[in-house]
Amino acid sequence: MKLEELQRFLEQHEKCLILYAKQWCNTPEDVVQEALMELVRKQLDPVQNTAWVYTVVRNKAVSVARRSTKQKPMVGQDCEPWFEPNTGDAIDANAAHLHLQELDEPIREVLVLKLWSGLSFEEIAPLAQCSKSEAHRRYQQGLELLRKKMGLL
Amino acid sequence: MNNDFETKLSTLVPTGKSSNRDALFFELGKGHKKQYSLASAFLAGAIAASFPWLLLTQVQSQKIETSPSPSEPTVVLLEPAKSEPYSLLTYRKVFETTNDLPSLDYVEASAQVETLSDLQKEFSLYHQ
Repeated sequence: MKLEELQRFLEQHEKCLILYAKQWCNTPEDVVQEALMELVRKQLDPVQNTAWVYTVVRNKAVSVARRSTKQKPMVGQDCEPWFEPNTGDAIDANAAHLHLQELDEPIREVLVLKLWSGLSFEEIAPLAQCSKSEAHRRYQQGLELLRKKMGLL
Repeated sequence: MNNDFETKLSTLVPTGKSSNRDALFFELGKGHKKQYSLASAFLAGAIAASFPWLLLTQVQSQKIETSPSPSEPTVVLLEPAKSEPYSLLTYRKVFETTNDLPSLDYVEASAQVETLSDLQKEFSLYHQ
């Protein structure tokens, strides 16, 4: 692994990994840092092992959440925003966050991995522990539900 | 219709504090011990920024000694190869640009430095 490869990987995936970890635990930055350290120690190519990093983040986040009830992700107004505030005619970041949280976890996970991490359904399926077609179905359903919740029908 | 919504959603930027990149680069450096001749000045700077108590030196043997006690300084030994592209002067410049590291000591070790105790001796001589 080269320093430049790691830099590029971090620029592209770091915040998405943190968002992914937020689905389960309340210390997402720590979880991501640990996963990245594991990647570096194992000397794995980050680009070829993107799905592996997401798997490690998921496992660690779930494990942290199981260890302590305090580590359950915060919801509603208590929660730190998931997205940077935006301007213009873009979608309301705060509303998107709140409504995403209301979705069932299996659906929300697929949305996060597809929309912000840019993973393919092939990569998402093993992470979400479902088939490729089921991942696709959850994604379409999630988009539809979110659109309704946000009053954008 | 979902496509437009999908595009707009995907433009939202997730929040999150950056990870400790210096620590990652430090780990990366450790994994590449045998390639320290290729260590960039940037990496050296990253190591220094992460561990301001480091004593960075050039020695004949190529190794990293990590102190088992947190109260003792960790010493990183870098050995640029003969053909290394970054001279000690370059390293020094990197440290000067990150001069918020008052506790960083820079020692140009002599060829006699081969062990940690040699290094400590050298360090004390340097400060006489």
